[in-house]
Amino acid sequence: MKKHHPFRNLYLGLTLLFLYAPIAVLIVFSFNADANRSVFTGFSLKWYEKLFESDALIQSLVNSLIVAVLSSIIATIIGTYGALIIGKMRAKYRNMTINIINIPMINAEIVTGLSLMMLFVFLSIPLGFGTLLIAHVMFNVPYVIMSVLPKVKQLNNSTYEAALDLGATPGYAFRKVVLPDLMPGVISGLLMSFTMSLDDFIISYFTTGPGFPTLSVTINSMTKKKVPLSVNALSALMFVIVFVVLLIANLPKKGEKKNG
Amino acid sequence: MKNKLNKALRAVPLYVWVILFTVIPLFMIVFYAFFKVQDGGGYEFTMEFIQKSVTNGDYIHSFLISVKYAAVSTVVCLIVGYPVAYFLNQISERIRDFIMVLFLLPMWMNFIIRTYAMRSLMEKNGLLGFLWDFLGIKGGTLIGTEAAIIIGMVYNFLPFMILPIYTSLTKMDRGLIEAAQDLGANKIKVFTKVLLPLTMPGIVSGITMVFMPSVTTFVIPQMLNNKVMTIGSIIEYKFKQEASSTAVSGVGAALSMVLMIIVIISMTFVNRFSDAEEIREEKEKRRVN
Repeated sequence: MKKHHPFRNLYLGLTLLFLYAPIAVLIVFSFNADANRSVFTGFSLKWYEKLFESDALIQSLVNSLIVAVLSSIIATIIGTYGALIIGKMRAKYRNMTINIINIPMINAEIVTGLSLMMLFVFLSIPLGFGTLLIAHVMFNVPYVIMSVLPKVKQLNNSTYEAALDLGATPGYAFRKVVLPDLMPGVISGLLMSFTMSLDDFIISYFTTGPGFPTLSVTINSMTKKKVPLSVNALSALMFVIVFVVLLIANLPKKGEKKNG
Repeated sequence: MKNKLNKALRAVPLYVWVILFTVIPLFMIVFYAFFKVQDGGGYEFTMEFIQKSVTNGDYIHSFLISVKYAAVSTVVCLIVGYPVAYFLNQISERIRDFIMVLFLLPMWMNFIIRTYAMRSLMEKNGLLGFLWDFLGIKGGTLIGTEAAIIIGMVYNFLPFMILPIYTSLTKMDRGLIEAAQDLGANKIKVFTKVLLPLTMPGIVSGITMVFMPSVTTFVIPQMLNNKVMTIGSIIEYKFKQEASSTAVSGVGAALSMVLMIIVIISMTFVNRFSDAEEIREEKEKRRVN
């Protein structure tokens, strides 16, 4: 039996319309022939050409990607190590440590960003690439720890010991026995860090300097003046990439549930 | 014995990291709120900043309106988002995950870009302004109105409300609703006695995840209604526009400290119903789906 739910579908449809209308308009006007943001005067790809000529946008995109890649890798290493340490702690210390580590995840981003900025100013470290990287690693570490920790708790210590008994060095046993069990958590922590880092504005805004703007920092400063439609073009490209990736990741797969 | 020492030593870098980049920065806020940089280079204790930040009428006003806008947006998100989560949970499983992805996809757009997109839509020469003109409302624009701020917040944070409620609905045993109906409960009873209590953890996480970024935001008011100075805007102004990048604004630090205290108080209040773990889970779900 097939029931129709006109109200339900209408409600969900309208909510989706609300969420997508601004993005759709943004994308449509990226193809506009002149700089007008309300009247579509004709189809053109000139804003896409302008985008690739715009050093500010491309350079900040590259900056964002560099920080996202580096910070997610460093955060994954620190976070995996942290999860291994925390997983072996006694419950009392473990909860206390987790609570402290979780602070940047729960705290308001503006407070986290400012607190780091004050630390850097106090230590007279000039704001730029280094401080931005530290800030991103700092807010990514808790996410990695929290996604690896459940895997650490599931670890079976006797397989590691068996490997040692069979003559494996601790490093070899770790790589061949422990790490594979942690991998799903490590990968999801890495992906999560990467996207969190790429998406961040507020913390970056307070912890980077004029010499190393990220994409969101650059776009934010562009919105103070008349925004070139090449921003729309870049947003459209990014949206399409994410859309395709997510669609591919979510469409077929039957039976198997998400695993990071 | 040696083993124990080894174990303790291995934890040292973790603690160094956490203390250096999580604990000390928070103390820096307190430090700069109470210590003034002297001309010679030393620091001097002062109550001036903290006194200013809790007695100055402008600051009190901005705290109040920030809470007001955040509260209204949170309520709107709850009213709009709860039915969305409920309906999503009813969709046949075959397409449910896909529809869910559609709801999460806009969150992958950068926050700044999303707000900019909303502004383009609202502007006088934007699409809505065009529509207003068409309807005969002259010079109509949402930019600069209170509604603009609320819409901007709801637009940006609505998925944060939908997701946790949806999660708690999927965890719920559907048989419970049928059981309540069989026992004679009407729709309202089913909602207040079964649905609402069982989805409470989701509602609470949703409220936190919408209220927190809303009450501290400065981007949304700056882009959609720059006449309004929320507490976030004032702090941003103190640090990025009034002070140079190598100096710290004492009043800004004091205001951040007050903001942090408000956040801590509301978090402890909320934590009685939900926990950090849940919030993390939700954030993770919206990222890695």
